[in-house]
Amino acid sequence: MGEGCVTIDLAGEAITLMPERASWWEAARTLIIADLHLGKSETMRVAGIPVPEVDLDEQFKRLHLAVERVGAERVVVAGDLIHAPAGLTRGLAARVAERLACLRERGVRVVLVRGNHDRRIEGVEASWGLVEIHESMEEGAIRIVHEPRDGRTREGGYIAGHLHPALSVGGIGGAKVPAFVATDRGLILPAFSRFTAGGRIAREPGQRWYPIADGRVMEIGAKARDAGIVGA
Amino acid sequence: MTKAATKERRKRDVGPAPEPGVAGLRAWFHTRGWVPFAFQEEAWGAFLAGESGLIHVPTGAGKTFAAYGGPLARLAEEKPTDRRGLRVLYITPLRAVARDIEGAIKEITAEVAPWARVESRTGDTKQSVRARQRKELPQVLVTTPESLCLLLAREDVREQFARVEGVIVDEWHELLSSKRGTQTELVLSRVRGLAPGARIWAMSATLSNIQEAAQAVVGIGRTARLVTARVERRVEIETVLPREEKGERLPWAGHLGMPLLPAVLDALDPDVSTIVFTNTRSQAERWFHAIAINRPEWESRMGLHHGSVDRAAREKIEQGLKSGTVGIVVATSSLDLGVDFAPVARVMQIGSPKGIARLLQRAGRSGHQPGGVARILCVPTHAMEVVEIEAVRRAMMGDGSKMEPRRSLSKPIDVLAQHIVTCALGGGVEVDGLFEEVRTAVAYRELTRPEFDWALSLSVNGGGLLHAYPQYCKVSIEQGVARVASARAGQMHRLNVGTITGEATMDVRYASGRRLGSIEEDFISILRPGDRFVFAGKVLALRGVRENAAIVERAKGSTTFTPMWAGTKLPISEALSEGVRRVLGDSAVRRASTDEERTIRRLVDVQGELSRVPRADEVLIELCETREGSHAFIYPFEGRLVHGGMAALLAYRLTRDTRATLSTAANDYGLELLGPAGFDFGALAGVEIFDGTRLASETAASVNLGEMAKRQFREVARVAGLVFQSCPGSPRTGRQTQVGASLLYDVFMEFDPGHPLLDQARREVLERQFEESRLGRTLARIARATRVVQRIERPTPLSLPLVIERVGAKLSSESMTERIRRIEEQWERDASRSTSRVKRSR
Repeated sequence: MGEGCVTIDLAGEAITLMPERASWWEAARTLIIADLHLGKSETMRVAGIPVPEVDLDEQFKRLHLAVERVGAERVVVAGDLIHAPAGLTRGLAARVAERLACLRERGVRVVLVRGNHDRRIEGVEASWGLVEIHESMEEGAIRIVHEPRDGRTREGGYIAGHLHPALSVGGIGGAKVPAFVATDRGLILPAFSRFTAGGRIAREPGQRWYPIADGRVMEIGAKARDAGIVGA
Repeated sequence: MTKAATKERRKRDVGPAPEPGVAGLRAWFHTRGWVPFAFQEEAWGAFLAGESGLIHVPTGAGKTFAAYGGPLARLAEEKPTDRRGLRVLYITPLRAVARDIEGAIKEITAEVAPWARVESRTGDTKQSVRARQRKELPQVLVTTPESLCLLLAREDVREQFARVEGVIVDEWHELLSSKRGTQTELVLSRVRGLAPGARIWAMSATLSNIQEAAQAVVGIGRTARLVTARVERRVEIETVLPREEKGERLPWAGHLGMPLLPAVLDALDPDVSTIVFTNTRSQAERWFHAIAINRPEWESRMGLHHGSVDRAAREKIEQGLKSGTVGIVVATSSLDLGVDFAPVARVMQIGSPKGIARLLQRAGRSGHQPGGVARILCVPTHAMEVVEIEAVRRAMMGDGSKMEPRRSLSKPIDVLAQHIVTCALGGGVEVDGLFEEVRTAVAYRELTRPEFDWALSLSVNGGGLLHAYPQYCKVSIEQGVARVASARAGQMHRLNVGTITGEATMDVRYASGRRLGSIEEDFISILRPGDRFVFAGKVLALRGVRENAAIVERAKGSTTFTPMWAGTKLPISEALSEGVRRVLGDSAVRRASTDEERTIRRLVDVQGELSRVPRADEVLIELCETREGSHAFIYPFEGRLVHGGMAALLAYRLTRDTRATLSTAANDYGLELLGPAGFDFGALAGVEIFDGTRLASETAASVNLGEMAKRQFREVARVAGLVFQSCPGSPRTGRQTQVGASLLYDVFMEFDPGHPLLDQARREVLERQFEESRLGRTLARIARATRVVQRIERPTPLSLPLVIERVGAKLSSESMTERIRRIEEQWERDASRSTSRVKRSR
């Protein structure tokens, strides 16, 4: 696949992990991302924390690049499109609508699987032309959900977000890099937004970690797996 | 100026101090069979004459009455018709001693000016007292810098503070060169603005830059009066030395060892109240544990006191020490303060105190009567510490000019930003006037208007350089007056006043919910359930982590696992390092006459045999080839931080034109550079490599400044009000508005890289992590000194500790990819270990 990418097998489907923090399911022509938390800076500012104007433009630019790179026909957001209703100012809503319209014009559908932060998204979604909101999605062997625990309830593979996986790489400042975390059944996506802190995920046997660093996706655990040490 | 203050000023112009107040003071002394010291009389007179300044006398000499006597005499003279309002503020850095101080000054006030009410106001003050103080403040208020900030944020602050006549700042040397000190300077500038007649007096232990410290109290534009006592106060330093007939000897390295534990056990006696000072919390835990295991019968009369132990438990220990139920307390700097109120019979110091003033202060906790002798028993943990202790002993025989100076910080923008919001809350503040007022604080005397305006804009529109941040507003300005924009913003600010920033910590609790203290998250994250560790003097087993608490239970047996707390290890001070160089240089040529000198002599002899003992005006460079590669050791004796910075800088300069990489190590005495076999260290004999120009840019280039600044940004962001410290008991802000400082740092770096708070974080790293200015002075000294290059065959007493230290070298410039590869290797090792364990068990 493309430069800096790694393709994995998930319940028999080939899924490509991209350094743009997106995953590409070629057979379904679908790009899957999670945790955009749009309006987070606005939410902070309303709460009295001065945060620069950040996220929106950079996120949509990256999304456009990823869509173009693979030729996606559909984008599925696996939850947490927005951060909080308090951050959905009129100006922000209008800018999001504009960017989404831009994707639609290119024939790209945008679908949202509702996340815990999206509970009160009703009201703006109509103006955004987001007609498709699902609680979860099932296509072939794969379910797309927000919280990983909802993916584990049934047989088959799943793709989820919610946890914002990140790998601590040590150093004095406690640096972290975003990472995909895969088991033989499930794939947890890193947060698409860069304005998110990495979550704490317990390391378990059978996991493979795909940190994103220096512009490419790397793999940890492959050697161990090949040697038959990690996992079943 | 307010009417009351004008009246006050007129009154002072009338002439010399009237007598009745002072007569009352003397009477109070006489009824106790005491006579006021000359310096106390001098301080009273100076206060009554309208002067401000600094009282500079040894610990335990009677400073409190010297400073409080003047204001009290004024209170005693007040006309019965005029007895209202806040008159005297007493600021102490330690809220735990506020109540003791309140008690002591209540006693004298009750006799000299019985009409005056004395109360304290700290984080511990009861709700009922707070409610009363909301209506009317007492005449004398004992408080902390933080609580005073909160009072300044009252809507009616002008009215309440207009009649303040005296401000007393205790333990000024402790506050001065920290951000708390800066905050105190700003608070004092505000009080001067609100009550121009207020006289400000600080109390300080011995410092070498007394005049500077005094100016920082009274502010720019006032003359500082110095009151110094000629109170004789002898300090005796004894060193515990290895008893060779018992097979004891000191190793060359390693502060964690306890070679002299048997001697310490012999010296301790729970019937003689003793504080055993250590340098780190980790060391305190280890020593407490070791003593308790060897003397189980003492355990009920021992206490462990450090910043991570639950506060209630600490207070119980302090109380026990006073009442005599606790005989031995193992402590860190958490017990450095509050010296006047809990004297003990003996003081011990484990390891080097790292500073002359610090050891003197710790010694001052014993033999507390004025004129008494302060004794301290020092316990070295390795051989070089005998040299350090000897250097302190010699420095103390002098006049104090060898003490470490303490200086104001240079205009930290985060503290100013917080102060501006405090003032805006305090009934609104006129912006132009505030700028002038702030510049009377020594820390901000060079503040420019654009800098001030930026600090203001941080609260007004977010301080964005590129454009204002929409929706954000904490403070609004109308007709030149700044006010806080909403009640919510005001409440958030009140909850986060202060400059003390803790590490990310976790509570340690029993399953029953009882709290033992707090511990760093990083430490807990490496433990697995069932692992045993020492904490709060107990052996505990981790049961699990629930929310933000580590749940533990008492465990039997022993463990060597002790939590490490970050950032608690101080480097040796500049003043002490000079002393160490002199002691070493002397002992190579002079005959040893004391036991200490004989012990040092043995170390020096080995060093001389294997290499050379540097004279005070020499810098020794040792070169050595081993299987590991080519080593260079340099010994400037300037402290760990300076050596760390210098090692990175020298490595950078030595490898700029080659592809080699050098690894580095640093300790308090020197640094090591390790290169591939045959690496040419010839440049170290020259001068150019120690050039002090372009220091900032090259230090920044040679270490991973970005990562270090990110860590420092936590403090800056917290003080400037960008992130909120969740304190127990405070209403939780919504999770959706919680944002970590490290994330904010990344966001600013990317989207507003010129943000002044980022710049401040970088400057603070260079100064705190590398003591940049001291590094510059050190380079200059090395360039001037005789550099002696010595080839060695095997590790010397000076180089061995560095070889051991290297394992822990931390200045990483690895790329992310390299780091991830290293983590992969680590995980693979873990995995193969766990499989082999499984195999064995089968």
